[in-house]
Amino acid sequence: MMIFVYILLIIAILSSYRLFVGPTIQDRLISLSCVSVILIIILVILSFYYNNTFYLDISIAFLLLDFVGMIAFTKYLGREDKK
Amino acid sequence: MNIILEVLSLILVSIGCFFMASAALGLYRFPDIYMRLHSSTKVNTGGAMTILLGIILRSGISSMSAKIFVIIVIIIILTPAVSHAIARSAHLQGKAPMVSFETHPKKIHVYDHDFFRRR
Repeated sequence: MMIFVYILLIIAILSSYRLFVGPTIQDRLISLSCVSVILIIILVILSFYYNNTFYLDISIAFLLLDFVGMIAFTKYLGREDKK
Repeated sequence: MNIILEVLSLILVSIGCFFMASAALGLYRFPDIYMRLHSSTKVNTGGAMTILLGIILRSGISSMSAKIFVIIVIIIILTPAVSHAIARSAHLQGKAPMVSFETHPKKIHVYDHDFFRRR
């Protein structure tokens, strides 16, 4: 089960390419959302591997925090050209 | 019976990893914001659901699988909402979508700057 953690880490590093070279800020937000979902899944797999339910609470809190931050950021961005 | 469940969960987690890799590939290859959103976010949600279902099959009926089910429900509800919010902010900022003109002599992808004027 530990090999999937390494595979998902490699995929997270590859998917954070747009985080650094994205032309607009929305590309960076999409890449950040993908990386956070992959990290949540890595936490769930680690929780199964070590047989410890403590990681699951951390992943739920991380998911909700990611949602709130992303909604606030897009609200701030979309206000620009509205008139 | 136990071995069947283990093999099934390994197959499900492998399919989910393949979905995640294709989402990263789409994020790398597509030329536009909206195409990247279309390719990456839906596939990412499907891959996450598949991997978590595989882990539920492996861990049996316990408090851990109940918490993983809660995580699946939260991901199904919240990730399309985040995708919609990002697309809405890009639309409100006036980012033009990219279209391929079939009648263009070079058949290239260009930004459609008249998109908001035509509507």
